[in-house]
Amino acid sequence: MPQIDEVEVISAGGIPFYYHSNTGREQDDAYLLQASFITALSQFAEELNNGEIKLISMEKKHYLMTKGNKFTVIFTSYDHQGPEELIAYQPNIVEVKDYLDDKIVQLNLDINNPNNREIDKPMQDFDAYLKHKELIEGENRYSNQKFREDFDRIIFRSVGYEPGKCNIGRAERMKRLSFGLTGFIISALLYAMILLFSLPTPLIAILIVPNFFGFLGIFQYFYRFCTTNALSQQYDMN
Amino acid sequence: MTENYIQLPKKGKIQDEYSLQKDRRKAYQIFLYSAIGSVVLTALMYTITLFNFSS
Repeated sequence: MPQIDEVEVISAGGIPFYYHSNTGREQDDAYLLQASFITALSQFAEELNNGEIKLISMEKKHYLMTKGNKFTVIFTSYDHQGPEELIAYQPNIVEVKDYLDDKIVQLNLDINNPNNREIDKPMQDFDAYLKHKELIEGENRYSNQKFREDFDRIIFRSVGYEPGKCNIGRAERMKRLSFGLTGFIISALLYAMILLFSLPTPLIAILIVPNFFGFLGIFQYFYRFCTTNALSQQYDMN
Repeated sequence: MTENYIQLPKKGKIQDEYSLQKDRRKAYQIFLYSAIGSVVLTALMYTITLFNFSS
């Protein structure tokens, strides 16, 4: 039996597993483009009932898909294998779906969270399982972690996040501006109090704190960059 | 007709170490600028106050 060209697992949160028989021979971007296409395919999957199988032919590719509890499995073949050949994989795709369903229940996996690193190991096991069943071959599985990182980059570019340059959107920038201005207003009020009540001049040194937050807010606004997000590994383009 | 949209997440977590490094570097840079700015401004306020008192 010829092997499948691509195997994908799609969950609501992303693509936990992606095998491509040609990985390594083409540019990564080509796979990412393909992955985006797969995401679009998941729209078809939404119409499926659990366990139901659907065959879709688009361009020069054929897709056999079935839906599990929290995911969709897709077997893809290129034009050298016609839709009839792909249909022959129906029992296999059901078996694969059942395997994943059991695995998710057994390990209590959160497959909907694409950032969940706990799924890496089970997905490696899944890769081995597919090889054992002779559905795929070779070491061509696109690294789960690398795939996620590359896919993130595509999303980053699309939403406007640029590492080290811009990690907040307009609404978030405005918050930083208000934060900075508040810092300076507090500083001005404290300074006025020191002068008004003739407090000791060295007390002015405490103004370094509100001044610091004032500058921090203003710089974050102008640089379109939030320091807290950067240190907590987040971006917020709202 | 039904329309489907794939909504890209405007808020999210960064996994990629290269991006994280660049972000951290920028964050430290902003902290440094803010620290310098606050020291200079506070020193200026202090100097102005001293100058006012002495005059």
